[in-house]
Amino acid sequence: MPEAVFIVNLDEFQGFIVSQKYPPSIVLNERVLNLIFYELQKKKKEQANVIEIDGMRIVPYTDEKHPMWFVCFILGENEQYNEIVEEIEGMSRLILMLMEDITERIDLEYIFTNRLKLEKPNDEQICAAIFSTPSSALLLEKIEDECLERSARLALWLKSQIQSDDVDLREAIMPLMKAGIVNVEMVAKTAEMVFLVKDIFTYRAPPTRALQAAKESHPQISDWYEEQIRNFFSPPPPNKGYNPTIQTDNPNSPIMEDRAKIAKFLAESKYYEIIKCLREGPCSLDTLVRRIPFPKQLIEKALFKMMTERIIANNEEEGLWMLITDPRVDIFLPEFALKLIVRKYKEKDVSKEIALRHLDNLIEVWREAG
Amino acid sequence: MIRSIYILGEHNHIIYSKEYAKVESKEALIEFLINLSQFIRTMDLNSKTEYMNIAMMRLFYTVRNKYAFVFIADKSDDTSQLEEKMTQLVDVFMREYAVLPDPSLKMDGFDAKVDEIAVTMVKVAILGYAGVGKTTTLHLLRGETLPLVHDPTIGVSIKKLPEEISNANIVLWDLAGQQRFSILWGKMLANAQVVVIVTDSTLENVLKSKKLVQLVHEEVPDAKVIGIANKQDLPTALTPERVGQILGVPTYELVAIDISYRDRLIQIIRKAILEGKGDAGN
Ligand SMILES: Nc1nc2c(ncn2[C@@H]2O[C@H](COP(=O)(O)OP(=O)(O)OP(=O)(O)O)[C@@H](O)[C@H]2O)c(=O)[nH]1
Ligand SMILES: [Mg+2]
Repeated sequence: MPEAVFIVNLDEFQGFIVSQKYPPSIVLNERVLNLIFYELQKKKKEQANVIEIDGMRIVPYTDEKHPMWFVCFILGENEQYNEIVEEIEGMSRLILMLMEDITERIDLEYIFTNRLKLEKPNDEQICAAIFSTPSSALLLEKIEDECLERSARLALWLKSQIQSDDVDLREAIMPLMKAGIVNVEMVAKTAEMVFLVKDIFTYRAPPTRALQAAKESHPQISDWYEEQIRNFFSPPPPNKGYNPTIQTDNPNSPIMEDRAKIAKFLAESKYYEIIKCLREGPCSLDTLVRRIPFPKQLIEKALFKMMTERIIANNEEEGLWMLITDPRVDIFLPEFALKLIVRKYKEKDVSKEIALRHLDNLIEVWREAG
Repeated sequence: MIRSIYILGEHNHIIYSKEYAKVESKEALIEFLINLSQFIRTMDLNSKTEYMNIAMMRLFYTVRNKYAFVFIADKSDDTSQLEEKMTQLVDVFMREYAVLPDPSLKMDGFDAKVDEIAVTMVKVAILGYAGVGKTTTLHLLRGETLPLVHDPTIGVSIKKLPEEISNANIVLWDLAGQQRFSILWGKMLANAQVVVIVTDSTLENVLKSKKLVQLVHEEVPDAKVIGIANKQDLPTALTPERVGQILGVPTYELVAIDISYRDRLIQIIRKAILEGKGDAGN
């Protein structure tokens, strides 16, 4: 069990500020904070590491989203780093996330003594995160159209779209690479190519598992629950139900806007953790508070936000929250890519070598699947 | 930066004023303000903040009910930031003082609120390679005992300048010069309004320091950059003119271990802050 935890912010004017610490008695000086920051800058982020300073073993953690913040743990004397690294990373992720969402002080003591953690983003969240960065979402659409394209051309295209020289293709494409949607490869030492290898689709699915669970655990509300779901997906005429497969290229269409919203609920942990619970069946607020490591007010706020977006509903009589639409992000084999590769090859837009590399990439990614 | 603040009442008399910097030809200015106040009242400003440039100053003004509000600031100031400050000032005044029978009689407590709005923080970064005298310069500026040995800075050392320069709190960022710390420079420069590049005035060091000028232009293009030709007491020192030519930025001489340079150095920094980038070409 680590001895202490503290949160540091490098303020652009005032320098290092220890914004919170536990236990309050720990003493830190500018030199220690400087050395921690320096070590963090040298190392890969989002991975804790031990630093020895003045006989203390300190494990600092930061992430891409909060480059000026870091959470540090001081290890106990006989503590084995390997045994607790996961716990430290989990607590750090939680603390950084809460710092962003809560304006008051976070309850560091409670998190620390109860070992509350936030898990690493899973595949679903990593895919959804593409839509949190507007330039990445834009790039995704372009790559879905092109299937394969030279990096250099994409960079130019992106600049013209965003009308700024500041936009960096590397940064925009990173979320797509992390999610495994594209592969970036040097072909024949001349052209760096971006290949679309997976296609992605976000939509609202009927929460069948949660409804099934409700029938068993809360039969008194299951009819009411079923009706809520039906009202959304197939309401009585003349209303039209939800149809995510309507084709549209208009970025301002309601369906596109809705997709971005769904992605946001999946990507942001404060919503996602709740969605994960509710996929298993209806829950009361108290149950959610017990299962999710966030303060009650934050959970309540997230619940109301999702209710206005018709992700969840509240049965006030029973005090239960439940999913009415299950936000999903699915991955597909981009079959249309093959046609496009062939066309681009015939039009001499790409060489045979490039076309074959793309095919290899697709085969590699999908060989195991299905 | 805000140099002074005036609030004029119904009959165009000044009911509140606060001056942070010396105001030149004050009488003429006040007469001008009174005329301006009369003029802007007849215009329909829609409680928007407008501004005009007068010489090196920029004058921001707005009207709310019977009151006219004026900031005298610098041309190099960020307009949207000042408009924001104006809104804050007007709000505080209208909410707490305008409701009094004669606001000009009961302005206690208002001063502190004005300070809160008008006083800004200015970040001055001190950059240069190891051992050139950055930390010594920092101590000199703060009027502290000057260390005679080189105790290399770790990361960054951040200290306030005891004096306020006009109404700005100056924060000095003394960056570590050792090569291994160069990975921090970019991040540490963020938001600096003034960057002081210190050299030890040897040819080798000055030539090397050109790279730092380059880095500063890339990282903080809006910052005012000045050079320091330190260690002028040593025989190897190039003249400040020569150092300035090589660096391509206005450069001043210094012997950081000599306390008699302190006032001069503070004046140099004051000038750099007040001028900002806007004056760089002149
Ligand atoms: N002769 C002479 N020595 C100076 C002068 N200014 C500083 N020194 C000496 O130079 C040495 C280094 O000074 P520091 O101010 O610590 O150097 P620094 O630039 O902060 O170095 P780092 O922190 O490593 O980047 C000290 O021994 C100072 O006494 C000067 O004007 N003349
Ligand atoms: Mg130093």
